[in-house]
Amino acid sequence: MSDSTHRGVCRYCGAPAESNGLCGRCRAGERSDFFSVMGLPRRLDIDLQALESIYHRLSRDVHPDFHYHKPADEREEWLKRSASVNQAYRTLRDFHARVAYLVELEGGGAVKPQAPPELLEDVIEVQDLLEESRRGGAEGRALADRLQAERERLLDQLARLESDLKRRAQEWDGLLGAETERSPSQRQILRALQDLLSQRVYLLNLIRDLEAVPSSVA
Amino acid sequence: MARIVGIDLGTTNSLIAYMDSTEPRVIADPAGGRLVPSVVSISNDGRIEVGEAAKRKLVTDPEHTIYSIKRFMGKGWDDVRHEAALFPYRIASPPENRVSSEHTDVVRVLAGGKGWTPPEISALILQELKRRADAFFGEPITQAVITVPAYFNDTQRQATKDAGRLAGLDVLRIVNEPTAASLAYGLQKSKQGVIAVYDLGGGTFDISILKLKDGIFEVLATNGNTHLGGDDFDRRLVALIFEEIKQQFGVDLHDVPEVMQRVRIAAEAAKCHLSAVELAGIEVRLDADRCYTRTITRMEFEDLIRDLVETSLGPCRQAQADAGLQGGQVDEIVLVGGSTRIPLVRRMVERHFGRTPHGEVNPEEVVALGAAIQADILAGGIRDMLLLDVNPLSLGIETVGGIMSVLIPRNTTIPTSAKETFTTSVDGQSAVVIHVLQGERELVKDNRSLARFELRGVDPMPAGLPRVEVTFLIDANGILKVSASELRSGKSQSIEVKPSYGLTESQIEQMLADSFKHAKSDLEQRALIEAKNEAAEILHATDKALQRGRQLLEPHEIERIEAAVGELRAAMEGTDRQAVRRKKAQLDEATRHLAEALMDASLHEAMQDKHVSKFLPQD
Repeated sequence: MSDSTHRGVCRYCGAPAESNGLCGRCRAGERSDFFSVMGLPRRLDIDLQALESIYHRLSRDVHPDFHYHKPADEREEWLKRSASVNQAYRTLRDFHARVAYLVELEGGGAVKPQAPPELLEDVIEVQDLLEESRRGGAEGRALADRLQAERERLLDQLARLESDLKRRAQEWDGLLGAETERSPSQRQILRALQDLLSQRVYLLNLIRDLEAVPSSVA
Repeated sequence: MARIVGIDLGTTNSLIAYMDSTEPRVIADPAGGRLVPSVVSISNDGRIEVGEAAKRKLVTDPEHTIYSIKRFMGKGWDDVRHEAALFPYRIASPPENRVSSEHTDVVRVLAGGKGWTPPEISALILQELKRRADAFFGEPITQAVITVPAYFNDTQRQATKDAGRLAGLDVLRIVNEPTAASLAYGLQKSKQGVIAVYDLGGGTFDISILKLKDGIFEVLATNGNTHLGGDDFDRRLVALIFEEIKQQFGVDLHDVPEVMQRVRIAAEAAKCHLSAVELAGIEVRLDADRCYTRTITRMEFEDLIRDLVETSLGPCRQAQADAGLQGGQVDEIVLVGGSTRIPLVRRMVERHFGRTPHGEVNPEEVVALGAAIQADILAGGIRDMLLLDVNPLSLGIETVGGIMSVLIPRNTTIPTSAKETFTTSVDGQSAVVIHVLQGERELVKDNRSLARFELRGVDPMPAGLPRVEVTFLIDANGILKVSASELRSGKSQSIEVKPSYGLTESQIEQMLADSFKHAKSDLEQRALIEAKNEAAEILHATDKALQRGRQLLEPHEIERIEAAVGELRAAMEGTDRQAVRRKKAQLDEATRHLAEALMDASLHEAMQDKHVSKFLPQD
């Protein structure tokens, strides 16, 4: 398999490739991370056109349709490889999924909803609005205005978050070298990315809550 | 190179095709007939006829002539009991169906003195197709690719494979009909861009949106309605005719199988006529003396079916949204299935997509031609085309609180796999139950249960310590395999998900319709469960912190915390999410000093003992 083995040895672990072109030791592709599966460095700026070309090329190599007449255990192997290429593409083509994946891959743990500290007042305001709308507050007009204003504030906040994410992603790419050991500033960026993503999820939930307010009121 | 044929096993008609050196061709019978009507007639003495010969018996011998068997593939009696009465042939009710304990649920058609399962009837149709191909090639064919509606579930796919095996065919691949159609269309045109395949057949509707680029056919999204097709249009017209018969002659004749079939066939013929001309005649002989006649205009017919055609647009909108297209824009529309010959269908599709549908491919043959292309790919012939299909419905497992945790969302490219790690909730627990689900709703109870299995022999450990990794693997046929292993002990178990009779048609529809209708209340319920889970966490943390830090607080502070704990517990009994959140926030506030005091204390302690390993729960 041209992308995990090269000149008869595995690209990832250096073991001699097996006759089917797969690495028998590290099972490259199946086990390795999505960036390696696609043959890419762990950069967050990915050209989507190029990624699609890589995806198509790999699919032509690994898809089970092209290995139909192989023995059953080899077919099973290609099935898993194909599944891993599909997953890698699905994850890497989406910016937020890509960042979340990188953070986790670098040992940062999963992204969980987390309130941005500067948003405390907005959280309380949204709760109030929801409560008032539930009680069917008489001042429907004023409520609608407040909902609108709050929604705009949250969307502003989301836009700020997104640009912070982009900036941090660029910083990560700028510091990325060949070494696998991460410097303190790189670890700091990863933590920042994780926080930003966590806050984004929280913010999206909040906006969703707000949009769930009965439309007769909003 | 082995010869592999492509088969479109349709609700109304079936076809078989092969790959000539450069293009796919339908194999005709010696008389030049290309379609095999999906009709089987089984007489009382066991004589079997298939295709045109059987179709002629629909009127003369309706009780022994089986049509639209595809509707029953992969179904159980409970799934079809409401529909069974609409067919003149007999479907066994459970007491008649106690053949063996394991098969009691499978639908059986009673004919020629025995009960036939839908795969057996379908196998008779497949054998007829195989005979054509055997004669054409002068040698028996043994391998085939068979198409199914994109919305077919695991069981229906499995039933189709079974039918192939019963007919003496090794089914190498199950392919979705709209995607097969796109292969035939794309080969012909070597197109690039985004296409929508609108497939309205005799019994089912599928919509698929694909991106074609450099020979790769990537399905972006698929959706559908497994209970919408030409049969439903016929039924509207049939109902009208019986209504008028009742008015004119004062008799209700829809219980008489012969009359039922004559009316159905007259209605179907009128429908087909109206695709070409503006006015059609309907004539039905009721008995020796009486005959019902009327004419129907295209407009009258369109008024009868307009709402049915409209229901196909909902799935189109959903697929466009899922495909993530800018403005839902597609470059081309490909029409598949006999029902797309109806002018109203064409007009509504054109208006919806803002594009004139493609009319060059024969909508009745394009699926079989695509199956032949896929067959050639598997045979190692075509190397430059590749189909990347998706799973139509989300797959997941049950987690705490009765929530479905989705592991593979709908419209994920297959093959694919997903892993998730779970743990135990009770000390010393030695078995973990994995409950596999399919559907689009938030809560377990609203989705279809596909399988339930138990991972036994987990070494007894404190709760939360075992790590059970569950892996879902979907192959290129869309068939799911689930395995689970306990990472600490390495114990693993694997199952092929083969439910006795998977999701029913109406269940899939109901589930989809409900997922849109109930989206809000689902979210609400899920949010409530999540809020309660969070609340349970903070109660636990508070409890621990109080044990450690009680002496650091003033009595009134302890009182305040205990009051807040009581109020939160009370709120958790109810269903008001906002209340749970509010009380949780209050408890947060009440325990702030406690948390700070403990932090100080542990810092102090750490400095004294040079221990920095002690930390407290964050909440």
